Amino acid sequence: MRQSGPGMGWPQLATLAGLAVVLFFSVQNWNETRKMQTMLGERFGAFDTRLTQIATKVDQGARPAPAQRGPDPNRVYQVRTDNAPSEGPKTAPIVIAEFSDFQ
Amino acid sequence: MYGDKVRIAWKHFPLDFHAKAPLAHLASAAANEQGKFWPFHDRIFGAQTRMDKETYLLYAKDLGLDVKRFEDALNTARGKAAIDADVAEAKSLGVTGTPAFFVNGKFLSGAKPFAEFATAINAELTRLKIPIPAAAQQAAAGGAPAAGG
Repeated sequence: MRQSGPGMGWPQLATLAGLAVVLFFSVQNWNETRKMQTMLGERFGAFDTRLTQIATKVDQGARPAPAQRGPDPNRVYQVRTDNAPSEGPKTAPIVIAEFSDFQ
Repeated sequence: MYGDKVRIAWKHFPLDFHAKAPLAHLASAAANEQGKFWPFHDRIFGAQTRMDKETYLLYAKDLGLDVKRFEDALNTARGKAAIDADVAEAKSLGVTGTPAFFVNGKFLSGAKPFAEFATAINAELTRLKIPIPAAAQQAAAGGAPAAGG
């Protein structure tokens, strides 16, 4: 064809220049996106760490709560009293186990 | 009031933050070896400002214990296994503070007024179809379930 000769015409040059500009901007854009992604990734990582720390703290805070409530008053527990120091007859129908300390 | 219907069993539960509790529990266990747990228990509670070995040796002597044997039990921490077993049991039951009571296995927390014990005991006696002593009926808090019927 006539137009694909050694010298390029003005329209082709303009197209090439346009392409170069578009390419330049998309590369820059892509770079920006990469940077943004890296930064966001770091931020999210930090968030994750913080969240894990907070969750651990919440767990630790929550754990003593049910313990403080203590045994369920509506349940009947087996408490070993055979070898415990006792007051009252061995045959008593009521056994009160007293968990206590001396201080 | 309940005569021969009630037995009280002591379970060791020295709290972690009571520094002098372990020795006191060991001493009471040493006294228990010689059948004098409760008198010793009363002595400890009678003078909680003095909780050291010398005091416990004095109690032992005072209560007519074999002091050498008592001291040996104390020095070798002979009661430790039993105490540790009680502590492990308390923890497995979910007990976190003292005193904690189990009336035939039913949990009563803290230093409760006697009426609450009477209520719990009377409920058990009722369940077991054992007559409730009149004085105990009066002692129980208002709503004892059909106490004595």
